[in-house]
Amino acid sequence: MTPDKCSQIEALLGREVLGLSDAERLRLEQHIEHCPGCLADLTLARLVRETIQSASHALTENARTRAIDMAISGAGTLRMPTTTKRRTLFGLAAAASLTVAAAAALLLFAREPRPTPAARRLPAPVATPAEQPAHVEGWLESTGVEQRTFAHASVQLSPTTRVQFDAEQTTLILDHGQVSVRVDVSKGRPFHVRTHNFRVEVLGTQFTVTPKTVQVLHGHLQVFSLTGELLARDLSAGETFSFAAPGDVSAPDKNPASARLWLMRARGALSRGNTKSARGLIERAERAFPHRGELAEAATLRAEAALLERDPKSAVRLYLVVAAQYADLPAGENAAFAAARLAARTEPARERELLKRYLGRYPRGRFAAETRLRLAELGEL
Amino acid sequence: MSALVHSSHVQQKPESTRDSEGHPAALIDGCRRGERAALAQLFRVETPFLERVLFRIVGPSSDLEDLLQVTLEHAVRAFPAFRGEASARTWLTRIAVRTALHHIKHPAQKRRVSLSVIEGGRSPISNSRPQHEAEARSRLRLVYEHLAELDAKQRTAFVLFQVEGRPMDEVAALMDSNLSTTKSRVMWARRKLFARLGRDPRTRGWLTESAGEVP
Repeated sequence: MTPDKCSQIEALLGREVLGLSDAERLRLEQHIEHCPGCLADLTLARLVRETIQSASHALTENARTRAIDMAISGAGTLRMPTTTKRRTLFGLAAAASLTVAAAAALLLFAREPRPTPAARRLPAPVATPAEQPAHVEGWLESTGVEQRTFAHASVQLSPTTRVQFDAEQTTLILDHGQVSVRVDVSKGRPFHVRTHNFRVEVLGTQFTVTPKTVQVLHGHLQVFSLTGELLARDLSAGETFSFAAPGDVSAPDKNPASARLWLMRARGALSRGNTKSARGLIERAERAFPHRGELAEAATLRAEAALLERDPKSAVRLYLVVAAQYADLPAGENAAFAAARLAARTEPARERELLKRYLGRYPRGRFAAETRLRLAELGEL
Repeated sequence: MSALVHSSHVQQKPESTRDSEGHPAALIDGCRRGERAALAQLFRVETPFLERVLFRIVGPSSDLEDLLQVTLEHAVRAFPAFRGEASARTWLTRIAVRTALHHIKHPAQKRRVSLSVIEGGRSPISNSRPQHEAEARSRLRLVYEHLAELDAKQRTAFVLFQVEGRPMDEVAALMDSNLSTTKSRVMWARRKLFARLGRDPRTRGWLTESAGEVP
């Protein structure tokens, strides 16, 4: 039999992952006995495969749930009609509306000074009757997820939600269920959602209401009691208002997840390489009553932002701050090791010191074995 | 609190047909209609597979959760147009592959230093012995360091074929490409990757260790 050429064997090497017949395996074995190049390729192919396959990819259950929840909530508010054609038309119409709205906003801002936040909360002029949509008679009950437009608000009704719309007052009355509302800011008119417990007033924002809670996704809004008493003055994105019980509606519930939400957005911005936006989001997280773990994460993200901006020296400095302030948290340990690894590139003389410092502080740490290996390579152990 | 906690499970019709992964047609129909409970139920089953594909293409990265979220968001928006010609898993995998491909092609990723070793909570290597774990982690880092130097499409095709063990025609379908282009991408990825690994002094130890085991 004529010995195979390396090019013929390459095809077999490629298919090895899917399994070879006995004859093909024999050809392969005969060839690599005399061909060190193909033997090395085969070895590397297997090693690469095994290395990647043996690595655990699993996210924590919390992370997985969060991703699913965020995806459904985030994408659900932007649900598209059912056919591609409709989606395209909708997209074109939306793009056109946005362009017109942007042009109008530009003209408006060019002529008038920007209103203060307080001014923006004042009720806007009442719309002319011609602009008002037809009044929705009676109660509307959804069976599945339904998308509706009430005046200048796009509303997604969750299954088994019961609502009624009062066109004169631009008020959506929620009996039970959940509504996700997106109010068109360009109209400059307020929109209200009323439940049995409270009334929400907004100018332009995106939020979700149940009979007892309001969660703000974008923008700001105010919550009033049914008697007109102000319950939440300025609820902003990421915050949740919860109606506790009749007579106990004194303060809005600052959602403990809001700092986490900002941090998640900051991570997203960093992954897109947008460090400026990430810094803004980190600042918002720091203002949203974060707990210590979230503060540590915020500080770590600052270090990552510096790294993205090709400023490894600042990144090392910031990691060391995290390592010092949060030494008892996983973020502190991560930062201590990250600083040492980065120092290998920026200040090689300091790498040993930082590796030893890590090992001294975390002798049984997650990176202890790796640190010892590196120190051995540097001739320190 | 998570909205999913409030979601009730989808009522499945007993007579409903199932796709090749065993998802009832009623569940898929619910997803098409944008029902949260149906979407959550499907995603709970499919996310481990999507995570695996994303991880293997992108490598150890703190962006994995974000990528999974982006994949699922695209899926929620595109579900009304899902015709059911492929199984839901294949369709979702295709979205995951596109998301991963976009991620590794994005210039911001090239500037980013791999911080695989500091990502939160758990080690990407499942072996329990610390010494072995550190070695495996450094091997993984090394492999992705060289994979990162390949063209994004070549790298993706290589991972799907060589690591995931998917047939070439399936890889082509997942990447919206034709068979010959995909074959060529895998071949060039192999050549370039092995040439790079072969030149890297850090891989010599591997080859020596594995010399007696091949084939």
